Amino acid sequence: MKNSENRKFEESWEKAFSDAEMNPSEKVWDGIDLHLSKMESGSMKRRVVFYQRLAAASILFALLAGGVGLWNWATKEGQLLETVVQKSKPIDKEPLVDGNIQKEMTTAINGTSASKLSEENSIQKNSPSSLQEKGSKGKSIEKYVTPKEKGSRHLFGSNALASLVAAEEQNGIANEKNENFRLTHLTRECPTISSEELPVVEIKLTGEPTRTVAQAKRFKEPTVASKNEQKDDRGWWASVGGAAGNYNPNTSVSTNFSQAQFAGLPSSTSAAHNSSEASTGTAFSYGVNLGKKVAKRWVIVTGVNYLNQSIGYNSNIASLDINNRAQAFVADLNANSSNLTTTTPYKINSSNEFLSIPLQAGFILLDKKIGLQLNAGVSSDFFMKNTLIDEGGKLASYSQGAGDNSAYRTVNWTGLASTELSYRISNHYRVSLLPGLRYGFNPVLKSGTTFPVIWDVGFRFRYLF
Amino acid sequence: MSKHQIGFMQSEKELVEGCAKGERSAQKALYDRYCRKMMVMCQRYAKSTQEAEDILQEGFIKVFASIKSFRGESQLSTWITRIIINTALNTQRQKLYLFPMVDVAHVSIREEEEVSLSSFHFSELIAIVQTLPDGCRIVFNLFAIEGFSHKEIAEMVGISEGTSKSQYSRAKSLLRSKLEAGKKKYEKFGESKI
Repeated sequence: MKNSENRKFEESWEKAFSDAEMNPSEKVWDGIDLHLSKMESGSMKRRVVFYQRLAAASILFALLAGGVGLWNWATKEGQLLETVVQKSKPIDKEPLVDGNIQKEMTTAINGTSASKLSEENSIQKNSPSSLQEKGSKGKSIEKYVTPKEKGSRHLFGSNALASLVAAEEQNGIANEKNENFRLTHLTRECPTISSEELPVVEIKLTGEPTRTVAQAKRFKEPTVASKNEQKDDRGWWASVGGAAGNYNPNTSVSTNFSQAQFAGLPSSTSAAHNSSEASTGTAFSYGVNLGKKVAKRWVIVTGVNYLNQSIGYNSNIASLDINNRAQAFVADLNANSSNLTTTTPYKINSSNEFLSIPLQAGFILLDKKIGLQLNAGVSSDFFMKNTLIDEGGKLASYSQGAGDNSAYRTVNWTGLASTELSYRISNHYRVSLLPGLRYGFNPVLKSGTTFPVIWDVGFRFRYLF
Repeated sequence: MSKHQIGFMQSEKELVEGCAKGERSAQKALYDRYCRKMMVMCQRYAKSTQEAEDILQEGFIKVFASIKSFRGESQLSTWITRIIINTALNTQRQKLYLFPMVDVAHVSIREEEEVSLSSFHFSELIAIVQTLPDGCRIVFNLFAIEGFSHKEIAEMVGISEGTSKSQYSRAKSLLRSKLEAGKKKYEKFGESKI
């Protein structure tokens, strides 16, 4: 009973507040609205930062890969030059076995030239590698040189000699020739030992001598593609692709005007005059491209693309249409001030659409299964239209096309730079990832003074004809 | 028909979906639908209207930030109420840290003298509740109006169950005396209600 009486107290309080309602002040929603806008711009910024970092990481990776590739190429070029110089030296004057020859042998064995010569001599199995293996295991490498060959070594050069030795060893020629061979033992334990210090062993071999064809090896240039890889040299390719990234107009775009400020605005107003906050947006493009390989390392690329650049503004002004209906508006558009009015702050999305025709030259750094290419060029961007949309949906959207009365330039020029990392998935298909930069050579607005920049990451699916 | 009116016509599910997509019109509609009721609740937990509005603002920001996690297992109003209460408790918890609640030893409760609340407007009742000490006010709101048990309150606020009970007893005693004083004041001036 007492409990039920006690409960009456709580029930009376509960009842007193059950239908109670009280209006909070307007500033509560304003604060919430502001906070939500900040949260949205924060998430947008995070997306932008992600794209920027992805593009930067891709470019860095591509540059590193390109650098490593160039370094390897330069190193091989250096080795080739060194070999050519050594070709002209009379080898008889050199110690038969010394560090240089050992090094040259290693070079020949490790390099692709050895395998090439092995192919030419119809050596099916790993003659150079077996030789290298012996060396690497610390076992002796036997080198057989006939007097005739000794006399003509300077014709081949040391690499050819090493290859010949490898070939002879594989074929067992030394065991079949009925000649004296000079046997020299090379050991890893005594790499600096000279031939004079080594014992000369006379070996008599029986059987019919076979003919050995010694052929000076032609070094393969690292940049020349193999048979399979030369398929890309056929010339034309077509691709479909797209790109997405962040768009920075490089201008401040927040346009909150007080009524007093607004009354004094000229008919053509630049947002930069009254802006307080820089902003970035997003951009995406898609289209078809056509490329032609015009030289061993050069390609020309062109195509047709649709380009969209969007950016969010905070605005508190609106334009009025002929029916006196408020439309989304930003101050960087030309308009008669009598058609403008102030309104509560709202988020506005401005979207520019272009038809883009790029012309780019590409330099091929790597043209194998994985390809690497640097692209640069210009793009003619034909302005299609601008659309302003109130994200809150309160105001009507507003569109503006190109033309003499438009605030936007009809033709815009943009510089393009990208790194193309590609992967050949079959003889006819290749996919690419293109982190890149688009830099406007002129402002989008006729009255503008700033140049927009887009960092993006593209994807391309290429068909090789 | 304004957007706000349209917002009232929207179903709860549509509002939640719109808010989850970040549509400002849906967020405004949701706010308009619940802000007045929540404002009363915030007033009960706060010491002043300014403080109540701060709680309300922070609470709704949390509502919009976490509305994607609302699965519709409870009523939307219940879910929002709980978020606002938690926000209010977080605000008051800082005060409670500075002035911890302790057991109140001697509280005289006169059960026989019940004071009717019907003669008071809810804004007067809010003003009376706001005069309570922080600890008493929180426990009173949670127990008497929200309907939590002392055990639940103890867990929510981080006090012992005994402290919750004693704080409530003290709140009850203080409220009775304030209500009586208020009633006498009105009778003296020949008013039954403000």
